[in-house]
Amino acid sequence: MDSGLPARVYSPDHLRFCLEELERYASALLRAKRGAHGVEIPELSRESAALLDAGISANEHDDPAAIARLGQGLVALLQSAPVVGVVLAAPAPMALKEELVAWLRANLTPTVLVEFHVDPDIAGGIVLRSINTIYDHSFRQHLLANPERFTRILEHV
Amino acid sequence: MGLGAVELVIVVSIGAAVAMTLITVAMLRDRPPKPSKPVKPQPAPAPTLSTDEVELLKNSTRELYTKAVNEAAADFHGDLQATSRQLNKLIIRLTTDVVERELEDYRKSLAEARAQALASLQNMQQAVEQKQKDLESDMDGEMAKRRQYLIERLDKRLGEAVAAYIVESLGQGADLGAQRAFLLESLERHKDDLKREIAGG
Repeated sequence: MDSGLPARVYSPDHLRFCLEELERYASALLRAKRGAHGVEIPELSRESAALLDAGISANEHDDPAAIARLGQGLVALLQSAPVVGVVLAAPAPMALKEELVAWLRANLTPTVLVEFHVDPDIAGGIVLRSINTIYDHSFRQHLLANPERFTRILEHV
Repeated sequence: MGLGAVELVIVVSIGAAVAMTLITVAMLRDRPPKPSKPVKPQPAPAPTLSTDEVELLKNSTRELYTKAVNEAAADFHGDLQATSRQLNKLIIRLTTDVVERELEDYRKSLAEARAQALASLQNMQQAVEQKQKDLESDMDGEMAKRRQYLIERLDKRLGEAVAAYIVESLGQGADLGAQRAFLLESLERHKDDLKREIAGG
């Protein structure tokens, strides 16, 4: 994956889904090439299409062997890529997810995978889970970390 | 002067008076006539007294005896009184000295006991004051700790209440778009830590 993972494909689940989809796609292409009748080439999702664009050249998009090699590379990536968990208070819009993933890949490593979770109890902000550490920048944590601030603010109301 | 000595003085006085009387009477009666010529001294015949002379001698002796007894008794009475006065004075002085000494000792003992009691009382008072200070200090410390604990607990509860209120109010309607800058800033804050951790695998 020379050009790196597309921002749209950010989680291990995405990658697994895309792998299955690309496998079915490659299999259909292979059967069509062998002259099988009635073979329907499945429509690729935007994520899988983005992976094809990023992983192989445009003239190889209908080459089952090239797609298979891409799949093998993606499996290896899935097994080795670091995973960062991101917890938000509400489901994030895709644009925000892509922005966060882009930042992580630009600043940490291009192959990092991101698992987004929703936890309304954090009230806002972000909680990052890396391999061994949790970085809690949630609103709840901020409120509870300095509870005396609220009292001080109340005194001046 | 003891009673035996007084009796001895009386007996001696009487004896001396009787002897003098006898000698005088004998000299008056048996005065030899003036010798015309020296004669060879002959041994004096034993004097003999008539009844009147004996009676006179007895009366005289009785009077002398009575007089001597009276004088001795008077002297003895005077001596006894003087001795008694001196003894009284001595006893009073001795008693006064003893009493004063005892009183002085008593005063000293009393002063020492008082000083000891005062010192003990002062020590006790100091100990009580020190204990009171320690207790006050401990109590102040405990009160401060308790107060701080209650304030922290109140702050924590208020923080939890506010957090719960915000969570309850927002639900899943939190505007993440408005938090974008905060989210990126949070990521930026831990960029180095995250890089180090991921590089370390």
